[in-house]
Amino acid sequence: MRRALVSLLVAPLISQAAFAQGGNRPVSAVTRQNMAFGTVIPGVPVTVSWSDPLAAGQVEIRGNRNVQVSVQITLPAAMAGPFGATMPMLFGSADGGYSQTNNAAAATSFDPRSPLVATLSPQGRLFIFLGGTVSPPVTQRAGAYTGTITVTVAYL
Amino acid sequence: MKNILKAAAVLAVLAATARQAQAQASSNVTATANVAAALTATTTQNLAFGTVIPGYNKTVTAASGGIVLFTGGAGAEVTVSFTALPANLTSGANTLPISYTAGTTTTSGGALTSFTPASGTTTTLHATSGELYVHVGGTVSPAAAQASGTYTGTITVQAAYTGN
Repeated sequence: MRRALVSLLVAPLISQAAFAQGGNRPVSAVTRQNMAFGTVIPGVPVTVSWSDPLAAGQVEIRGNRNVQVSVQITLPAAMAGPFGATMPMLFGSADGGYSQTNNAAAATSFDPRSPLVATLSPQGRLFIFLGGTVSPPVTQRAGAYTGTITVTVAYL
Repeated sequence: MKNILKAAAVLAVLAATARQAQAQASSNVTATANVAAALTATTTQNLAFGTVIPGYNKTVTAASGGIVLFTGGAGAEVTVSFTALPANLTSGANTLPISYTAGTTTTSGGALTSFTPASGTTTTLHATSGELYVHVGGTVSPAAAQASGTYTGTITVQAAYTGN
């Protein structure tokens, strides 16, 4: 009788968790492509569009089928370069795209500065595309610069 | 009964913890850029016609003429333009007509790609050294009664990044 009662109490908890996630796969995020601005000229801003197949950042999210996730993106204000130099990075309201397929042409624009709520595909996929702008002043120190964008996804 | 409730509570916490552990993930996207060096310009050779005979034109080819070396970001595209191309060399009040030819190369002594000086050109700096040599030649046309003397003029050439 005691064993039966424990089962009755625990079963609803497990099924509720399974229902909330639409399955039991862990959610994962994998960077498919980094964001590349190429050669930047001092004084000349450069923008990478999220729809640029070669230069945009791309992240693939995998998880349970047809479930909603929230996507939070941490955007740097600057890239770091040689000898402590920094270069401003700017992100606008249309610098993000998302799609259930790995096809930027079919993606929907979103503001990467705000959390995104989207639904994973029937295959449990969601693709995030990211663009942005670097704005080097005319006195920008020459050299290689990098910045890190963090994409965090969570089941709702 | 207390033990049953405790066990249920523990399992509930474990279930919730397990659910949280697999319900969030993150990935980093690295953004990269390579800032090109600022453009510099150095005159490595002036345009010299030497001795000119009145009534006879004299030409110096671009290949052996004046040379300005620009250095900047490897492989970067630049526009080249002449901002001063005097129509005459001068010696006091006397003038000597001159016309120009021009060419570019990304290696010292390399084959020139010609362009019209007055129109300028768009080209790219050397893919690794970031160098561009701009050559300028010309023809002076002294009159038969050209006054003797030393004639000079200043030619100014500039380069600017296009952003490509």
